[in-house]
Amino acid sequence: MKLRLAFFLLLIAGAIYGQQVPFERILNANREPQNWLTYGGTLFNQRYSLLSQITTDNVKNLELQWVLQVRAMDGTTKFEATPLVVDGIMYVVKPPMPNYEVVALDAATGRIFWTYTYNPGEARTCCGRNSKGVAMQGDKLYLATIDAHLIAIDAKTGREIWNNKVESPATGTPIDYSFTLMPLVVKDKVILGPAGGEYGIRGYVAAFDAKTGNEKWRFHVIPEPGEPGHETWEGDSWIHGGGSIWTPGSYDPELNLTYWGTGNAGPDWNGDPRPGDNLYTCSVVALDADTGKLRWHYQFSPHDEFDYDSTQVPVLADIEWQGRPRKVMMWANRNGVFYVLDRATGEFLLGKPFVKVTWMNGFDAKGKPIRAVQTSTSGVLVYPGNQGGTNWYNPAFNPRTGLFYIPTWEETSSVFTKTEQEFKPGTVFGGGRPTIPVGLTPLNTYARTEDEGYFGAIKAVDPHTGDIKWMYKMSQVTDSGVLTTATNLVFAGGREGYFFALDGRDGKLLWKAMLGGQVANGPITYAVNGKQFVSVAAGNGLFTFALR
Amino acid sequence: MFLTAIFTLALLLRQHTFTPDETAEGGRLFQSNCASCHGSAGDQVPGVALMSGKFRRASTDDEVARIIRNGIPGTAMQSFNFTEQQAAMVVAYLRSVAGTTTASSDMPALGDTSRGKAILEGKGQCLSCHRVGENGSRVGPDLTSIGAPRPAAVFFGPPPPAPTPAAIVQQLLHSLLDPDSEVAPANRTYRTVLKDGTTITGRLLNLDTFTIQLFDSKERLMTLQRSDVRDFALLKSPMPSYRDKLTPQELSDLLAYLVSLK
Repeated sequence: MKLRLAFFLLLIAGAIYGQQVPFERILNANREPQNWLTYGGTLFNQRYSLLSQITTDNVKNLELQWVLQVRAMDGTTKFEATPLVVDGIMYVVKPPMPNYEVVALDAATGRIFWTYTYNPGEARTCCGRNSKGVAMQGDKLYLATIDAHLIAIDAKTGREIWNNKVESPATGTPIDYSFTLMPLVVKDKVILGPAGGEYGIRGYVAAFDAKTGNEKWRFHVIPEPGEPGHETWEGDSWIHGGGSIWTPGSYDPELNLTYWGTGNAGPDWNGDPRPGDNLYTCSVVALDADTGKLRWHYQFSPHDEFDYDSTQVPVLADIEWQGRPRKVMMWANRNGVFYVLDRATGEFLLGKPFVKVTWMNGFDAKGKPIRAVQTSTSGVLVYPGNQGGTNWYNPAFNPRTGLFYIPTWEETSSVFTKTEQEFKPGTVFGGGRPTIPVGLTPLNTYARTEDEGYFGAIKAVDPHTGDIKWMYKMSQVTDSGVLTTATNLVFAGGREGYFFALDGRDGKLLWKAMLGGQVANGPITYAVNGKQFVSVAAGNGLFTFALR
Repeated sequence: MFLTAIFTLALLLRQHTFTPDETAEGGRLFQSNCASCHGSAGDQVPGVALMSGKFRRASTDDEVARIIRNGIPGTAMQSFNFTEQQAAMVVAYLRSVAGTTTASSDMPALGDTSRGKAILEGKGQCLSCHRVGENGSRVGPDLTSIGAPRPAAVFFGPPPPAPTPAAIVQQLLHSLLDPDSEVAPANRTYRTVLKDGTTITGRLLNLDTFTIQLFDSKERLMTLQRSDVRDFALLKSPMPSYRDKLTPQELSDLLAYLVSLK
């Protein structure tokens, strides 16, 4: 009762101050499926929508409604942003080629209301000048940039409210700290972390006051001397330990925990200078949302030497587990293994490969993987390859089908060859080289795959067993996220340029459209005046569909 | 000193300032009548640079206008059959290109910034339409950095110099006294009447063959289908003139605050 009253009072307060999206709306985003308020739709990041106008029967009638064009990409920069949709207005950011453009547009017609432009300063990005989107709270949008700025923008007018350079640790050079993620809003804070693990940074997750931009807390992914976990590093190796943050975290309001996946240790491919597990790289960390204090962690890839970033969005769900309800976290990791963890305690519940995996051969009693291969200076063949069994592209969980959907790279491998390397500021801190499993051509298209033995897929996993229920096979690999709906639909795409809808129960293809460029973001769905739309980025455009 | 400042401002309240249209007309007159000798950049006569903001034979704008109308005997500078207003518009054009809208002695006096802030938030009721930082309405133009120089956009070629502080003050004063005479396209208010009789008033953001996009008086971003629209008309600026609403002292204070917003 008290909670209800408090919620009511908060609603009133929101109305008085006229805030468009008070945090309570984000907290209860599943009650307004016509909108898309966070990266994964809700704070649980399931990318599951309750909208039901588009069904397995009528999805074949989808037709294009409008397209938003962006400037041409290069080979590594892609249109990765997930748009937000709030009360008929879509907010999306175009990648900085060379400037960021945040646009507010009519979600039904695609016409732009306003554009905010930011020209970022010098930045070193290993993997494209990408942005995964802007976050929103109240009347503000939050853009995190590749030159390590956090910018608040008035969502109604596009005016910049504040623009703060986020202080970087005194490790590496400042231009090595770049933000490519959509920030996560939790209560009155905006939370984010930097990429840069290829350049010897010391990663962190930091929270900023949503109103002023002032920093409120910071969690260092690499513990310093005296902090728990520091013993997993030797000598000064922790200083350039890496631990990038590439994708937004999730939030459980009952536990008040925010969960973040962390990137590889540095140097990437040679663990010899850093003996030990190298906490908290390649892990998930559960942080108190108010203080940033670590509550628990689980390390997916201890002492990683294969660039197996845990750069995935934590997917939270309340499911029945062995006969009783349990708050779990599901995770399809770049290292090729699907995991289920208890998200209150971090307890390891299940781990099972979803693609061919040779780097490990099982788990010990505590759920720590047993390493099966050692790196060498003459090279070692490892599955999955350097790009992983999946990567940053979001999976989806459908509570209705009970299945977890993963965009996968099948049968990919790399030969990892380690070399000695000292840290030099401003250079790649790799310590070796992997062969690249899938070729890249200069034309933003990709070389042959299927006839060379590897391919891409959308896979459905039963989280209770880790068993693969079905696989939709593509000729080429994919950088697409997955969207699923209450009408058992699964939407995804791939590098071939197709965007398609599958039956989430059996993986049968129901509809497809050729968009002429690779799909490299997570699709979303929303509704305006009762009409359901599906929106996806491919190549240099954002394409939006609805029933004819 | 203070009384002098108020007197200067009071004079300015009566003085005509030039709208962009008038200045542009001055430019057309210059290019079609004067450029054949002076060049389009006003610098083809040796020793004469008409767009530098300084004139060899004149120290005030009135003197420049007089030379245009009367010529300079004994030189190639002939007299031109311009009205006083036309000559003044040519001068205004030369001043605007030079980045000085008038001689610097014409800079209106600036009053007290903190009193100006109080007027903006109180008696002036400016925040009922405008916004400063995170306070006020978004319906009218945002004033958060209204005092910052904004160079004019150019289609081609080097941008003109940024307006001088005096020009910014003049522009603000002009907007306060005669707000409807010059409204930037992004700030124009339109009334849309739909076929069902609904009336929507707001700033026009965008329009195309099929739709009209407005920021309405309730701070909503909205799209209207033109097929639903019965009437679509530009309104006078909803901003009142402060000529009689504020005293010269209050205007002076308000100006001081506005130019401090950068």
